[in-house]
Amino acid sequence: MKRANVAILGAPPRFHSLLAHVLSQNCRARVVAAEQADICIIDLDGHGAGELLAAERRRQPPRPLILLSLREVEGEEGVWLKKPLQSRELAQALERILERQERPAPQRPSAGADLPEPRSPAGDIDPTADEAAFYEPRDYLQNLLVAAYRQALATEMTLRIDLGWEPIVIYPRQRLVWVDADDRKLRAFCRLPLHRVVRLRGEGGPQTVIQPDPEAGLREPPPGAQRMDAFLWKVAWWNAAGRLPRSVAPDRPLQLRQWPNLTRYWHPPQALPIAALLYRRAQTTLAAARVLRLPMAEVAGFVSAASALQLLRFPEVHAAATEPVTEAPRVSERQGLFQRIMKRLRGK
Amino acid sequence: MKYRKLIFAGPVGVGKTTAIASISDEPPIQTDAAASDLTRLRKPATTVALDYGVLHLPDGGKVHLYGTPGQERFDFMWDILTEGGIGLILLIDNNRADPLHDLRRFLDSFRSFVASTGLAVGVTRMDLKAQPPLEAYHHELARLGFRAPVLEVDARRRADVSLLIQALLLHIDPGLSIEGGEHEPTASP
Ligand SMILES: Nc1nc2c(ncn2[C@@H]2O[C@H](COP(=O)(O)OP(=O)(O)OP(=O)(O)O)[C@@H](O)[C@H]2O)c(=O)[nH]1
Ligand SMILES: [Mg+2]
Repeated sequence: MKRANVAILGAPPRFHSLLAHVLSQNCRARVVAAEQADICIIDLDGHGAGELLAAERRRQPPRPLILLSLREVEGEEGVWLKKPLQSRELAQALERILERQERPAPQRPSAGADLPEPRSPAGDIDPTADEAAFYEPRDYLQNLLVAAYRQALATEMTLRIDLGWEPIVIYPRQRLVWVDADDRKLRAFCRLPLHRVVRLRGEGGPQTVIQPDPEAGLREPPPGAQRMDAFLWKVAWWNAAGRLPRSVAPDRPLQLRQWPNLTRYWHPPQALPIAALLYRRAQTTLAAARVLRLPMAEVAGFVSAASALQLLRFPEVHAAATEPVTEAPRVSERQGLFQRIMKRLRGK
Repeated sequence: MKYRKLIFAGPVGVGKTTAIASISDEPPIQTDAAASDLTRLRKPATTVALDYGVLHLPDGGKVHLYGTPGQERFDFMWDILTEGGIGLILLIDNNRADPLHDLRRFLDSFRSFVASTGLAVGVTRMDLKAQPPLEAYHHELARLGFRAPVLEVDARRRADVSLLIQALLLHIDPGLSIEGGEHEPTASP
C-alpha cells in the first residue's frame, strides 16, 4: 500500500517530532520536506504560520492541507483539527484524504487492505524501506554562509548577507554572527531554498548578497551574537530538514574526524549516540540509522551539519569493514549501570 | 561493586572541584587548603587530597565522583584512585601556558587506566582563551594513539559537565539509548 508523503510546517521542534512519530507509527505516512510532500500539515499556532499558509494557498497545483490550531479557524479550506490533538483524529483525517485521492482509481482496494499497516514498535521501522531524500546545500543558506565566512576570514572584514530577510552580519575577528531572529524564526527561514527568498538584484548570483559592512565593523558585535561554528551547524541541520546533502549517498561510509562541540551546538537528544557511533567507526548513514533504531531523517540532519563543518571523512573501506553491528546489543551489567547514569544525567 | 566511580583529573585550577560540585547530588566533600606553594600564585585554595561527590541513580544506587588533586606531588595517589573506575574525565585548562603539554602529561600518567576503560576530554576556560582550538587537541590525541570525545566545558555549568560524562559513557558504549529534550546551548558565546 502506498504511503503518503506528508510535510509538517510551522510546528515547533518538539511538536514536530511528536507529529512525525505519530505519522510514521500510526498512519500510512512518511514525513518529507515541504517540496516533496503530497499533503501538508500546518501548525497555525506556530511561528510564521500565516505566511506558510498563504504560500500553500498560492501553490499550483494545490495539495490537501491539514490545519492544526488551538482556536477554531473559519473559512479555510482543508481539514481542521483542534488541539490538543488526538493521534487517532490525525490518522482518520489522513485516511479520509487518502481515500478521496484513491477514489478515482479504477480499482478500490478491498476493505481489508484499507486498514493501516501493522504498527511496529517505536524505532523499528526499517529506514531502507524509505527512499532517502536529498537536498542541495548550494540552494540553501548554509553554502552562502560558508562562502561569506571564508571571505570574511580572508579579508578580516565585517560582512553582511542580505537576502531581503533579516540581515546576517559576520564579525570575523570575534568569530561571531549576528542576526535579529530567534531560533524558531531562523529555523522557519532555513526551510526555504534561497531562490524562494532572495530578491536577487540584477544579474548577480549569491555574491551580490554578501556585502562589506564597514559601519558594523566599527562597533562591537551585539550581545546576542552567536559563534560562527555553532550558527553554521544549526543552519545546516535545519536546511537539511531531514534530508542528506546530495553528495552524501546514504550507503556511502563516513566517519567523524572528531566529536562536534555539542556543549555549544544546538542538537536534539539523539545527536549524542549518533556522534558516538559515527566517531567510533566508519558507517553508512543507513547503517547508523538502523543500528541506532532512529528515523533516517534524524541521522541525516546530523550528517548534514557535520558535513557543513567539515567534520566528516569518507574512507574508502571494504564493505566488510562497514558492516553494521547487527547483533542485538548485550545488556551487560555495565550497560545497565551506564543506562541508569544517562537517565539520571538527562533527568533534571 | 565494580564500575561505580568516575574519575576527574587535570592540572591545578582546571575546575575539577567545581565540576564535581556542579553535578554532585550531595554537597561535595572538599579537602581544599590554602595553597602554600607556587600554586598560591594562581588561586587561593587548592585541593590537597581528593574531591568527592555522588550521583544518586534512579534505582537507588550511586556513582562516586572522585577528583584527583592537581598538584604533581600527589601523582602517587592515582593508581589507588582509579581502581574500579568507569573512565576518565580529563579536564584541561586552555588558559594555562601549554595546555597540550598538560594533555600529554596526564594521558601518560593515566594511559593504562584509559586503555582499559575510556576517556573524555573537557577543555575549560576557553571563554578566557580560545587558542588552541579543539582540533589541536584532536590532533594531539591522534598523535598519541587515543581517540576520545573532546568538548568545550565550563566547569561551573552543570549542563556542560553532564554532557561530557554522557559523551564518555556513549563513547565507551555506543549502544546506550537516550531520552530527553533538545539541547539549547547557553547563549553567551
Ligand atoms: N572563566 C572560567 N572559569 C572557570 C571555568 N571552569 C572553571 N572555572 C573556575 O576556575 C576556578 C578553579 O576551579 P577549581 O575547581 O578550584 O579547580 P581544581 O581543578 O579543583 O584545582 P586544584 O584543586 O587546585 O587542582 C574556579 O573559580 C572555577 O569557577 C571556565 O570554563 N571558565
Ligand atoms: Mg580542587
